[in-house]
Amino acid sequence: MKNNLFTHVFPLVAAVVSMLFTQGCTTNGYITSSVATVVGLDVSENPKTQIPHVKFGYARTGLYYVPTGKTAYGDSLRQGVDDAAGNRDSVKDTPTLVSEIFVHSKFLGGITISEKFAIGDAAVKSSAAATAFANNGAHAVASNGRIDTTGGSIVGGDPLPPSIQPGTTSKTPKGADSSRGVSAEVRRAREVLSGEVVAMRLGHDEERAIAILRKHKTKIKAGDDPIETLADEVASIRTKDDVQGWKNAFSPEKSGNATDASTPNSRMLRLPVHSGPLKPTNPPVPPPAVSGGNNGNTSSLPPAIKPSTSTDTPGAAPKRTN
Amino acid sequence: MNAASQISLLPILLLAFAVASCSWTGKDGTRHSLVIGIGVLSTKEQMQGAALITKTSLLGVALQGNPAMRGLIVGYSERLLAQIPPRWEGQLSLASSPRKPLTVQASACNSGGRH
Repeated sequence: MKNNLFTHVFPLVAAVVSMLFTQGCTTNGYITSSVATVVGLDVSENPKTQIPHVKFGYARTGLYYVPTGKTAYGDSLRQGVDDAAGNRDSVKDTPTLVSEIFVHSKFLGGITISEKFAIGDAAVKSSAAATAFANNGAHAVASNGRIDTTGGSIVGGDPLPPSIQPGTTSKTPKGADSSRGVSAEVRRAREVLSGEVVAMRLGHDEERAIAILRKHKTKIKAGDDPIETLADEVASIRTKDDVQGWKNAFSPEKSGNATDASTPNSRMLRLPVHSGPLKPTNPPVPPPAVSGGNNGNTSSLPPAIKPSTSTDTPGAAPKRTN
Repeated sequence: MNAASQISLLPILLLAFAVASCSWTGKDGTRHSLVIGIGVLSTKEQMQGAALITKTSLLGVALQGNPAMRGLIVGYSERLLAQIPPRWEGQLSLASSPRKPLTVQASACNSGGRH
């Protein structure tokens, strides 16, 4: 019996395990996002490097994979072949993508995860995407709210601080913790304005930010980024008078100089897109998003950043690496 | 009881645990499967080119063959995996919170190329 076990069962188990480790990535071409938490023993391979590892204890692993040069045609996934139009797969096939990942964990209390994706030129540039990313579904989830299916607006739960937006920098806006004592109406208005600032940031629309700041008679310090200055100012809105003043500043000029998100010429959410192998002349990458308040972590991962990202940080959300 | 006898009990115990499993479909259409012991869960995409969102909670010993995590886990594991196929364009939102159903919202712009 013992001999049978060692001669038949163990080789079978070994074969199954080796198959698990040796098969290739079957989802080439798929945008993949994975957040995993393990308490105990983890014997697996690093999804990024395919190197086996052994972990024991508490481990949080985040994987974010954006493929390049891999496209599916028809029913099968192929690589490096021509499609019907004669286009050959290349790095320029990297999808236009904006995403946000939010992870909030409480020890023995479960994990809240929220992810948003806008994929493709049309989706990324749409005002719906701007609205969706301006609203903070993650926080709504964290506070047991729900996401409105119609426009991405939040029903229930308090909004996240305006600092948690796609493309925000690591510095904390001075109004990031100013949600307390602010009426719901002011917070909603602030969210809308923050969404417009996000669109400016992603579209590198500094001219409009300068115009708005000038219209509001807000001084820009030498060397300061006007968009970040505007983001700070919007984040510090606390009263209805402030809201009205900034709404007037954001309203389009009658001369038509200001951009409108709904117009075809809008620069809303114009994102850097891979257009070939990486070169020094690549378009600028928006600054990384870093967590704001609420013990949560938010990451925005435009496509030009990195095709594959993996983090193994206990208790932390996937972070962007360059 | 000698060592050989103890080893021979192992397959019997595993078989006993393997018989207990059940599946049910939630109000939101999500298929849930509970497997105690040895189990194989297979999911088929509902349509060609559809995004696949998988939430997994495991307690015990698990051998996983998922591309995002291949290997052996002993203990507790929780995973949320989103796979978006090539050439899919649109917006996708998903939210997972404790004791709440997995929420997925998708609106496709078109099914054309991603070039």
